[in-house]
Amino acid sequence: MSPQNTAGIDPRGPRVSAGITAVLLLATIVLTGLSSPWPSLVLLTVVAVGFAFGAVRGPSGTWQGWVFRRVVRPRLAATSEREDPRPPTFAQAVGLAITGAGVVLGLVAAVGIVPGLRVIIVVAAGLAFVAAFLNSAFGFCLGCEMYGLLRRWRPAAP
Amino acid sequence: MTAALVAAVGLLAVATALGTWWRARNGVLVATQPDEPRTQLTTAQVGAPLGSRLTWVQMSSEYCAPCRRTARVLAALAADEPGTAHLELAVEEHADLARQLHVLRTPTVVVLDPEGHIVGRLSGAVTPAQARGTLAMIAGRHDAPA
Repeated sequence: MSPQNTAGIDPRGPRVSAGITAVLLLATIVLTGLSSPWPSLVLLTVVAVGFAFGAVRGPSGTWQGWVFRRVVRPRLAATSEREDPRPPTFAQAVGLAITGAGVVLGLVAAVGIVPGLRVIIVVAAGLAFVAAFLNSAFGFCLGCEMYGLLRRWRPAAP
Repeated sequence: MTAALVAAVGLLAVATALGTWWRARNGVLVATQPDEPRTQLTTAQVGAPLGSRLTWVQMSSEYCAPCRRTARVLAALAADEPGTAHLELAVEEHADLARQLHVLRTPTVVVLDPEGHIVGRLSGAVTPAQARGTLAMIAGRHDAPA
């Protein structure tokens, strides 16, 4: 096997962050039931901005990552396990793509160009929720798996 | 509001079902059936001597945290159990073997008997309990102090 980065991130961080994100996305879906769609669209935007930070700075660079380090990790036993941050960083970009598309299409729907603002929010938040929930509750990182497959089929230059 | 709540609860249920199904498949031994051909791997193909009781041939890829965890589990078990060997091969470097074995996800662990016949495989991360269970099922118990 080729040598790995020895530096790495605590693998529990992305899972806790995904749990926080999953709760917010579920709330986004519930909020579409209000008489105004704006609260749900605002919350979806908040989640998308979080993914944007994560896509650029890695999962530790999000506010959810900050919550993990300051609030959750001090209460956990120490672990020497570390994981390569590149796959979960790519997973953040996948989350950004889904929720970002929801926000953009939602705004387009809000100004009346296309109908179905609530449906757009539910679909985008729903897809992102399933991925975030699977990650936090079951340790299945969809974006990480996509990253692995991508690198196998189109290896980048070292 | 009812529709929104139904959507939320429905998504939670679907996601839980998906996750439960996925986790149930991980590390579970799928034994070669009697009517299936018993492919045999050679020392030359896997690049190292086979174990006298069982060999774990782990096909891994580079950006794969479950591969790292599985490698630690199987290497530790191989060190503990005489006659067992753990070999980790990168699918990037062994593309032909990966294709021959129809490796679709990593890690995939192919279990060999002492002659190198494939007697089963495990897909996904393998826990220590699953590894010990597979060893017991395939190679029988080796009486050793706990």
